[in-house]
Amino acid sequence: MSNPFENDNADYLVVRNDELQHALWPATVAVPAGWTRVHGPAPRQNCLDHVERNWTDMRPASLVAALAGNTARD
Amino acid sequence: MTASELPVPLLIARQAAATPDATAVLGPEGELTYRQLDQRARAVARELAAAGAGPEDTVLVGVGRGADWAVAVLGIWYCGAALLLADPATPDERLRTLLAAAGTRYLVAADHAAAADLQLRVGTELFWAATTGAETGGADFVPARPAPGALAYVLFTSGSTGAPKPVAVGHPGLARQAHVLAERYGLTGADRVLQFAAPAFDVSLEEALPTWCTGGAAVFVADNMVSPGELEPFLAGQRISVVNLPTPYWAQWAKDVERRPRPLPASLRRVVIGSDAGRTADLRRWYGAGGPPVTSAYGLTESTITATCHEARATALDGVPGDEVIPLGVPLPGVRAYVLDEELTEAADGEAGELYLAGACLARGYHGRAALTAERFVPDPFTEERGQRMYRTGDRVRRSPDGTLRFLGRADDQVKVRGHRVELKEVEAAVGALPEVVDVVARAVTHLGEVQVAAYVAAAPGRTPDAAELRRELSARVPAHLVPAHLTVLPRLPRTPGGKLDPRALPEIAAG
Repeated sequence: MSNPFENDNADYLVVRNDELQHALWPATVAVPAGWTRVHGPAPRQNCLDHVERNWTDMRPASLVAALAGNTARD
Repeated sequence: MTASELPVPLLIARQAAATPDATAVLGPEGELTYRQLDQRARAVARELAAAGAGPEDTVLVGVGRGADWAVAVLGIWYCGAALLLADPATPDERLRTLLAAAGTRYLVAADHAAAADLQLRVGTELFWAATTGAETGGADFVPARPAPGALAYVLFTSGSTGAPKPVAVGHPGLARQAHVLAERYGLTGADRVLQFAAPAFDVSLEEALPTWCTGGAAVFVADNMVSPGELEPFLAGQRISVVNLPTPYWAQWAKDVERRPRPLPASLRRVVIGSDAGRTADLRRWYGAGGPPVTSAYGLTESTITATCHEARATALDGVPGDEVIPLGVPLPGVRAYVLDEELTEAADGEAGELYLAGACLARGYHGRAALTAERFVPDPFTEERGQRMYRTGDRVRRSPDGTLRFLGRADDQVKVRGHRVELKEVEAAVGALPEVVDVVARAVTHLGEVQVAAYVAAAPGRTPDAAELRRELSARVPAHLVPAHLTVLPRLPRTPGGKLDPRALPEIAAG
């Protein structure tokens, strides 16, 4: 069974959510709510290269904000 | 904030305040009460914090099973940092690679000598704290409260192919996991839960954390390579009530008690099995011998360990002849499970598809591996909540009308042999049904340009079947495409400390 995320001959998008998490998404399928296209349509490897170059801080954005705001102890 | 949302280290601190004199840990080297565990963890945390460790830093848990492990784990969390779970016995070069991949600069070791030795081995200077001597110095250290989504641990999965993947798990998923399983297993302060899994394996957390969040005792067996027959007196002597075992180990136990009937430890009230698909024939053996209820757990490091459970009741076996794979069961609270086809649409009940998991159980991703994370943790189009992700497991399943998920095989374990679609699990089931066989694994191999199935079997004690004999016997029972082209008899199958097969340790197939 082929997986819709493993097709080297298909085009993909790079999408991003509010936590700045990046993900691969098939170009032919509607982008789910809460995700924004940031790259593509483009070949799979091209999309993955884009992710590798641009998603350099993998911490969720809300965590980054919390850590910057306070380091309060309980 | 409700208890179920509190991060695990704070739940344990709260438990320590509630039942300070109860036993938290029993190990080969002695016992710790909740007060002692909490105080020593604070002392370790103070040292780590003084060295600069804090949120999002990873700290290598450089101690083995027992009380020191408990102190190290809690101490690292108390300072706000995350665990790097890696077996300290890992070969030097590989350990160095793992530390580099996780960006680890901190270590908790038993003492100065152990810390020095480990640093020498990996050729890296690490800030370290010791569990020895932590009896004092913790009193006024206040445990850090993890920020929402903070990193709890990093664990390298030993994938069957390619480089190990560093899974980064956050505190919310871990808190959910501890809370849900404590409830599911009905844990209370009276429970004594076996610590069987290797400490560098996430199942060790699944054993300890629900226990510590409910005030029970985590009891370490000194050596998890003991046979089931040797484990029994330990369970009885320590009055163990709950165990979590690798499925192949439990299956061996079930076959053993059938062969040599005896009373099982009376204290044992529940057995959890996981890490591999179990079989109903072994359940029948187990319940036939008077064994306690079995819960079959399924999950991945990426789903913060157990994601679905199946209560494998004895009564459910009535009228079910033969030997089937035990179902994966239904998703635990906080877990969404989707069975999807190639078009990313949900498969109808009864139809095969790939299993995707979503919800609070999901790991944050692969530590420092952006592209790998982006291709496995993908947008979830099925939930009302915006911007959620789902993890594609690579497992093929189907869902019964009652909601139960059934395992069909790995997505990449389906091979075409001379035009026939063959599930490797089906081959394993056929070979495993032979009386001479106690353990079996089937792999796809390419031999002289043709895809073929190779099976490796471990013979039952006292049996010495040869491959030709087994193949002959098999041919009489199943269609030709299920008879493996290559059959190798081994004394035992190579398994990792976690109970999973170690494919790299299998011998090459013989020609012909």
